[in-house]
Amino acid sequence: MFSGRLDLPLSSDPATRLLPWIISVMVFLAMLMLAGALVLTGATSSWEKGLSGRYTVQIPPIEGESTVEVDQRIDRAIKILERTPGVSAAKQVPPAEVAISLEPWLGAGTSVVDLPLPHLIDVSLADKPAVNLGQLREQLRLAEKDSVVDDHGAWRRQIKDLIFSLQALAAGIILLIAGCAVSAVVFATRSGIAVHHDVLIVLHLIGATDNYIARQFQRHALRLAFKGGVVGALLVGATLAIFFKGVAELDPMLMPDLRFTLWNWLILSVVPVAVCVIAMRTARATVLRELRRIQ
Amino acid sequence: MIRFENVGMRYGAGPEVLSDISFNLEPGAFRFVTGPSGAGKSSMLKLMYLAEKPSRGLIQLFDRDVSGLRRNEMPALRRQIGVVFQEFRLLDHLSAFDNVALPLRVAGMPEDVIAKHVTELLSWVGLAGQLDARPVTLSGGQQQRVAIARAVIARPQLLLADEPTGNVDDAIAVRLLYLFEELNKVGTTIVIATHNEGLVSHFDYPVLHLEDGILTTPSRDAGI
Ligand SMILES: Nc1ncnc2c1ncn2[C@@H]1O[C@H](COP(=O)(O)OP(=O)(O)OP(=O)(O)O)[C@@H](O)[C@H]1O
Ligand SMILES: [Mg+2]
Repeated sequence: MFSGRLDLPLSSDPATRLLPWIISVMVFLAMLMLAGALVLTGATSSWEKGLSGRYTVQIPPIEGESTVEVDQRIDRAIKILERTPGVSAAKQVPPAEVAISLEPWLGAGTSVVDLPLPHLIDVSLADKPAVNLGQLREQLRLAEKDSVVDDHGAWRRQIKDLIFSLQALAAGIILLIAGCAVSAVVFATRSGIAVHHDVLIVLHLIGATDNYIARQFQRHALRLAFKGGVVGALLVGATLAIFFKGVAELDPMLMPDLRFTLWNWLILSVVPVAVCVIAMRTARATVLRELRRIQ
Repeated sequence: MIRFENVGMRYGAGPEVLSDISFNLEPGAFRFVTGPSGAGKSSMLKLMYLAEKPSRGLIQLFDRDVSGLRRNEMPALRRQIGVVFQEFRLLDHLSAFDNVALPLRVAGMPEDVIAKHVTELLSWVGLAGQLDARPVTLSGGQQQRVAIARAVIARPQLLLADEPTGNVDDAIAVRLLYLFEELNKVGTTIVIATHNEGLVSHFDYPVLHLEDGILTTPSRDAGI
């Protein structure tokens, strides 16, 4: 596919020198875009998944009540929760943990006890049966008038919408980049045909089919796209390596879950391959169309 | 093999450079096309190798009406025709070897067979030492021999040569004509356009003579 002689002196065309660079930039941008979309999708969806199996129940504090009274109220709520079908476990989030999770926002050493923070109960759900959320809320409200059951539904929907828009945006940009790559190949192929018009006529007169001529342009386009693809992919590899090294040094508490899986790498590697295929198909289609115009 | 009937031809909107050309060449024929410069010899050959279309009249090649040829039928037909262009039209970026190999490659012949045939033929025309030379580094006569080798390498059924001996001395010209005669003996139809009256009289083949786009000496085959 890569080897094979060219009867046309395509490798000395001006477009030949330019095309690999254009393609490497396209591949770089497309892969980076895709990598970004994959990382964000991965991070947000693992976040979303973490939220989907649990509820958080908030019990507002009552002014002046003793710790014994607080514990009683929380125990009662936990009992109700544990009786509810579909709930696998319910336990209070220790106030110290709430404090730690708020630390980045409030600063270390803040005394949580002084703040009127709601008491939190972390509820884990079983896969089946599904919890009847309305009924649960009703029951809890009977016991604790101001209790709130947060199923993180709104939040999860927002995350899902965000993921979807990110993916749509990435797909749109990648399509745009592909369009530019196609135009670049069409342009290079057309200019090649114009430059070598006389040679093409001779090839035709000797009995070369359009297919024979198209194969040469196609092979040439593949070589150039391959060069560009390799350069672009290497640049992306280096960029991502640097990025993830930076991520690893950041505080994991503050960072969403940014990871790049083997599967992600595989998806990414489709880009340079796709560029090679697109370049070949485009060159072929362009040559066949242009040749029909010559004679 | 070739049949012209009242063929007229013009370039674009220009005047007719060929008028009312009628003749018939049987397979295996050998013809010279003579006439002064500008008489239309090359134009007539262009019609025969399908580089130009007649503006009127009928042309048949290999018993096929040329005007009815579809685009995808052209390559196969053209492979049956070997052409020595007046201006050679060698591909400058290819070596002599690759230029001559071209018709075989286009026909999909395996490389080892190509190498053997091409080397043999180039040696025969006296260019054994120039296999790798680019056309620009060759003399006019050497280029002409490369062009001839390219035209005959695929053993076409029809050989059209436009001034194939214009750049070589008479000794080589005669040698090249012998090559054409050999091909003719195995069945190739040969048409040679030339100024060289000496060459024409040296070989006793019929002549199509053009004057100002008109066939003046009716060929012996005309009207068959
Ligand atoms: N591409 C072209 N466009 C327009 N006119 C042309 C073209 N080629 C040839 N002619 C004209 O056609 C006429 C015949 O030219 P042609 O080349 O067929 O002559 P010829 O007999 O081959 O001459 P020579 O012996 O010099 O090669 C000439 O008047 C020439 O000016
Ligand atoms: Mg001429």
